[in-house]
Amino acid sequence: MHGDPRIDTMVYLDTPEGVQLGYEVAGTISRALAWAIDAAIRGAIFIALAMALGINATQFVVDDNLAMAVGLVSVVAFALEWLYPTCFEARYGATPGKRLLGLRVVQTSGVPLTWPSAIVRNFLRAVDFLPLLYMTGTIAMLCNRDFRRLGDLAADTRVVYSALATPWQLFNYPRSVRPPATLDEDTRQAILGFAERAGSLSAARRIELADMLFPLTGQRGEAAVDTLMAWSNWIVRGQTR
Amino acid sequence: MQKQSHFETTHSPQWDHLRDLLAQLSSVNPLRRRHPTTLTELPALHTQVCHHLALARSRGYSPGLVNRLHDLVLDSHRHLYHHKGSWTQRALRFVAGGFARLVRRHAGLFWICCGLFYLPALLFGLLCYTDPDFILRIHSSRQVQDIETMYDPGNFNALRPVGYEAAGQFQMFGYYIANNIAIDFRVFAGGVLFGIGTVFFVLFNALHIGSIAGHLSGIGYNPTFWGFVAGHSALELTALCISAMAGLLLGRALVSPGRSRRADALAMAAGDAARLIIGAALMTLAAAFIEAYWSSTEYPLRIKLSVGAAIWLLTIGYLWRAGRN
Repeated sequence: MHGDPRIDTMVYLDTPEGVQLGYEVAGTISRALAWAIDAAIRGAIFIALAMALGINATQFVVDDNLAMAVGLVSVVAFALEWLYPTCFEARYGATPGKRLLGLRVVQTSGVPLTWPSAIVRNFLRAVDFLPLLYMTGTIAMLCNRDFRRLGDLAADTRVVYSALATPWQLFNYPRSVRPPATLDEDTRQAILGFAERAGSLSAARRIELADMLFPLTGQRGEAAVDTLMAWSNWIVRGQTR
Repeated sequence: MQKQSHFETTHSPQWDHLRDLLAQLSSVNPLRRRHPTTLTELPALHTQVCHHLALARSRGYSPGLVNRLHDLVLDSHRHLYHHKGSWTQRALRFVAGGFARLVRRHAGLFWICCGLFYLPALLFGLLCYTDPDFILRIHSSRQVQDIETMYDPGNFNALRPVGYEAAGQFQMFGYYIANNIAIDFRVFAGGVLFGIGTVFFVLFNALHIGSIAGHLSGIGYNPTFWGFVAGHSALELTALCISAMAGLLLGRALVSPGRSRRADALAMAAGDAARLIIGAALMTLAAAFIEAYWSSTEYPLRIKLSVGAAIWLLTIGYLWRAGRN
């Protein structure tokens, strides 16, 4: 699994228990989209607050209530720029924008984000943002294997896709046929994968995929699908009566 | 070799148990959420499921099973290795003495940053003091006019910047927070440009502050200017130097990483740098409070200078002695 020459965005880490855990690294486009969503959220909060307090750009400070409001707006603007991403990432591992895209920030060792890392990572946005719209950050992301911008490099973090919850179901099929003994490991895994996904594929697609193994099964169409499912059932369950 | 279905039926109770535990740990409802330390069976269960994952992989079970076990182990790993101590306690200990100890640990860098700020500030302050027109080389005449208006002893505008004459104290508090803490953060962030950004911002601020101080003293606006800055200068200027420390820690990691790779040196320096910048931000927050609510009040000069001197002594005393056994 781990010396695989495939080109993918997986990062494999060894754990103290001796297993390897794989993380799928997020690329520039999804992170840019997440940032855009966050910017929209922050803009909306700011505008909503300003409107609620009755401030617009042409008004000026003329009384105490308004002065208080403008003071509040300054603090909120500051908090939205510097504290919004920091607090969300330190507490939940993802800002709302990232969460919508299924992203999460973790340390390179795989553990969740610590507070010092969250602080460093987000305060260095000031540099990653230069000169315009994260150009420095994007160039940094494209220069290393894991799409880490300057903030990630300094804070020793990575942005990965969080795992989706897959439904848990024991594989079952009425027939069971012994497969040929000459099946190699990769083919076996491919057939098992096909059998597990068969439920979510259309009938035409199942036939299309099963036909690809014609040299092995000697069959086409629905018969080929049935044969592959029966083989999978044998591999999973052994001989059924 | 055990068949996959038998493997699944035998061990799925354990997997379900682990998933329930994890669900309890990450429950959104705080009343239902269990504290990690109460789950004494989690480590052993995690190890067992890791073993199952390794078995499933080595025996070539179906990709679906392997992926499900992998995701379960991933989630369990995340909860098991997530250090979640009591943050309030750590925060209090940081403020009480941890921050001061951290500054003392990098004492050499602290003095360098102070020199980087105060020496140019003094130099340009003296130049502006002796020559009333020197400041025009640094600021535009409009800016100089605004500053002189703000600190004019004959002007009853309560030491507000031009344009904020009628501003309330809370509004100024908000303005100072947004303005001054952002300066600290930029000084810090500039460190990742090999330290050049930090040096640039510190020199810029030194010139700005020093020239204004020298010029206003030179034209005799002493009571207003020094009365205004006495209270908050200790915290604000020291915080600026500490922010520069944080930035230069990052810069030094990049410029001379020693025997580590640059990325590793940066990651190692980032821990201390983050704590320094947070401490500096808290100091600037306190300075903003003093600046908004105390500095522009109209007490006699000697009272304001005494209070200012006292705060300077407290700041120096804190950095020097706090956190020592």
